[in-house]
Amino acid sequence: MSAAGGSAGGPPKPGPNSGPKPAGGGGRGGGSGGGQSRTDYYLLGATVLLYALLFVVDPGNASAALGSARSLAVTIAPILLLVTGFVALVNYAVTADAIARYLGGESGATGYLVAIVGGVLSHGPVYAWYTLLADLRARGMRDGLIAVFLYNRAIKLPLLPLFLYYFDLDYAAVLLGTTVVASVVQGVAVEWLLSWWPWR
Amino acid sequence: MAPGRDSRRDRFVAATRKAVRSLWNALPILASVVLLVGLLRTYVSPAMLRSVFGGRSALDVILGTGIGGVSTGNAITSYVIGGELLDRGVSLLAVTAFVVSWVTIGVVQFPAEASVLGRRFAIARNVTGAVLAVLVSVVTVLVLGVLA
Repeated sequence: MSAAGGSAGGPPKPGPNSGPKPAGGGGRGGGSGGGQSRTDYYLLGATVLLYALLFVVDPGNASAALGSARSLAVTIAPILLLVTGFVALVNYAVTADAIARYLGGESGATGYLVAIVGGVLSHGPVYAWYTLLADLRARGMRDGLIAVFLYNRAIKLPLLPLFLYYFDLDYAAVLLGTTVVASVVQGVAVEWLLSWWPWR
Repeated sequence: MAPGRDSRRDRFVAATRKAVRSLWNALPILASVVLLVGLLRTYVSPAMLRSVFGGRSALDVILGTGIGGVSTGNAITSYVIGGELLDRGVSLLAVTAFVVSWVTIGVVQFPAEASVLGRRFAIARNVTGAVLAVLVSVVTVLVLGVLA
């Protein structure tokens, strides 16, 4: 587990992979309480500079790219607000003990099940969910279960009819089953890598 | 007002502030990713993606994983391109790797993932995601072969 410290409801129970900071290392979103890093601003500055350059050398495509980015921003804004609401609700209503029990080091099969169902039901761009996951991790969620959650976002139940238009039912059923199994494999692999990682 | 209600309200206000701060902290990196996705959507067309596959299964699986990993956008796009690739004779192995890696690997989203969830976590997740995209495609096609 990768508890970085508890909040309401007491500290999460330490698990086999517990450490002094999130095992993912360096993350500072959600409940970790850190501010914005300079790197974030450097990347934003570099991206803005790239756009400025493109507006000089290729204004048509630069304008199209900016329009595409604006359209994406409009699409994800409500999802970001929804996720922020989830984060507030989790902070308010879900105790660190509950997170440790259902998503922490001792959660076992229940933790995998919760992460799988959560990943399948989540929608919208993946980066909209990072802050919620970082918050849950700061309160005791295992890194492996974050990986499981993110992997199961590959399963898009509302898009199944379209998927079946291009691929057949057997393929969809086998791929769905394989994806769920692979998500658990990835959860275990990520935790193993983070516990073994030489930069730890 | 009862002390218990005050305490609940204070906790709710604190929880909401914390959540808004989390979003605020993530905004610069999210803005970068959104702008980069705009560039990718404009400069990399589905036709360009289709033209890369050459019909050699092993290489196409690796290409499918790589291209799916750097591509971004709604999963619907990956289904449409995947369906067209199948029609053009690209192997089911490569198409599966492409469709799976489209949603399980995030090269463009990597800066945001690394910033919010940690660099080591993001590297570990994306590297294992790439390996698993190949494995998932192989297993899926093998199982389908057994079922057929």
